[in-house]
Amino acid sequence: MKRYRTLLLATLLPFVAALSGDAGTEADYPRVFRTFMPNSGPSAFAVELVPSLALCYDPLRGGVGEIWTGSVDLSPTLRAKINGTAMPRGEIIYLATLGHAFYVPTLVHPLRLGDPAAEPEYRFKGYRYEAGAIVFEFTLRGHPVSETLRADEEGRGLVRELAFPEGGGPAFLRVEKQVAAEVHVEGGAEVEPGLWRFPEGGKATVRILPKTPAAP
Amino acid sequence: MPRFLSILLALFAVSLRADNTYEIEEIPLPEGMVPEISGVAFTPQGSLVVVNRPGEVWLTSDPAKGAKGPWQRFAFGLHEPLGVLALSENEIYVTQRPELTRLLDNDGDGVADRYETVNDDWHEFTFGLRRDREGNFLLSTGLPDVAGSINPLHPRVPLSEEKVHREAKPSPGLYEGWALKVSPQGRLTPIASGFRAASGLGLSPEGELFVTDQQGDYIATSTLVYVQPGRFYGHPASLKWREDYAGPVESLETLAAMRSPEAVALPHGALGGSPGEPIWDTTGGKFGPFEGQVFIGDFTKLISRVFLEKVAGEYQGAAFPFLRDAVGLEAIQANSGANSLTIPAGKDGLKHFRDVPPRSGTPLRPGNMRWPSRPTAASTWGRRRAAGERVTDSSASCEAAGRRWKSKRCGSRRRDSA
Repeated sequence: MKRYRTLLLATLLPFVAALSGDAGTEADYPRVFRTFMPNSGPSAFAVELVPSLALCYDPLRGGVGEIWTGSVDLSPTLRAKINGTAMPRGEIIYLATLGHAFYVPTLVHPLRLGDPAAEPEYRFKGYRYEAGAIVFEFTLRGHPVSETLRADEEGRGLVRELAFPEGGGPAFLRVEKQVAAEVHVEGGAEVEPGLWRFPEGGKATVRILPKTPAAP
Repeated sequence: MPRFLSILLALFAVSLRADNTYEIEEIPLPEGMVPEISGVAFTPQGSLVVVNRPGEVWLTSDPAKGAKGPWQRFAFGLHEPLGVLALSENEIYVTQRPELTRLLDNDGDGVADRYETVNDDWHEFTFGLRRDREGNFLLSTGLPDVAGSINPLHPRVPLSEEKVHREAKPSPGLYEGWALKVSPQGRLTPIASGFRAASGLGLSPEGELFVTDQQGDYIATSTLVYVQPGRFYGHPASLKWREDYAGPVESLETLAAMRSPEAVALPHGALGGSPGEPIWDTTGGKFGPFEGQVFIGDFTKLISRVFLEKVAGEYQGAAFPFLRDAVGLEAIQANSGANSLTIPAGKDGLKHFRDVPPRSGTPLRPGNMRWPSRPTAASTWGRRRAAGERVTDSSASCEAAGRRWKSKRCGSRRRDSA
């Protein structure tokens, strides 16, 4: 029964989405909205990289939050003085297990400089638009770090490119295993299961791709 | 001879009346812009900058052309920006809910490509924006409507739920209900506390900071406050962020003793219900005989005029209605007391605030700020000018008129009620 309900929702959702929002054209992407998002701190970012890929970027978490196939419905937060959260909209492939997102992180501040055991002082510094990408900027322990987000060639997965500063020591990124996504890391070495180390002044690339859903 | 004199006098009176007539100029907004205007500014070059609650910044170099003018959406995706300051055509600052943001158009295409966080040490409705003579940014924050929406696992700012006590608005986050200063380098300095929702902020010609606060709990009527560092102006929820905080204030007598009085009280109903930015007339007589006086736009379609005088270092004064919408007073009186909330309803107001609740005590529902339909080219906001003043003159009075008007409302010409 649950399976049929899931299929029904997945079938109806695109029609509901079409009725409730502004889909935009290819030229409108990527686009960023600061708003209230579910499972995040206040004033996180709703990021639509392409029409088929959206995510939450949460400065309080220290980076990328949930990722899903689809877009963002801003109407709950725009239509009320006392706002509701904006909501993901799109394919609900993994409804039975995860809800809307194929990538669901649980760690806070998984990126650290110098000491992987010490949560760094994090200051959000803003973002900028580049061709086909959004670049978020922040400091860790006072050192500037940038994180470029873009969709992969097929528009299905997220490519994160992190640039680390000189003078801050090596960078460490803890990568969580995901039920519904594959996560690939490049540019460093896995020094223990799930913990990656990158040289000072280096770069890292993290590719997050939804797993192909099993046939119902 | 007496007939001739009476004709002369009549002509003189007519000419005086004409000279004293003010006009409201409509500025149609561009199609596609949601007309929930939350801030207005001009660039040094004279371009008009408008921000709206859904988070957009629009700019036009020729406001006189209205909707057909060269409007450009400069930025979008901001979180309820309520204040704006334009340093140039490609550098605009906004206060949004989480931060003070610098918007930069680096490639000169008229669209901001960089959104730079200047300071984000608080999270709440944030008003302003002004700059003092040293280049510091001046802004103010409100108190939260609800405390429950803050996620304690990921608090935006230092959270002091243990300090939340009996106040109606608990101010659990840092510096809610304060006037604040942010240096050009991004360093935050608190100035003064005790505000409920100081949604208007202005600087006198001498560079003194004033804010308007909103009627509600602990603030019996809206006020114009001369803000001085370290002072407390009435709402106790903000006290917990003072360094000398020693716990909740136990009596109203103690609270009253702590409180610094406002410069001018704006009687609730008679002089509005939700004042915006105070603007000084520095036009040298272009705007009538009110040089040095203050104009305050109000949510209830009223512009007040305030006369101030400084005595022994403190300000006092008197306030007068300057221009009131035809239905303004009736609407205010009709709604005052319905549920302790004043909202611009009434016959005409309902056209623009469709979700305003009826008078019969219905609690205010979320959604009272909804816009009724998709905007059209006919959506306008008004700006005010003295007869004879050039239309393109971006005088400060224009800001006073346009600050809080949200939707189509203006007749083509209205007379001064003062």
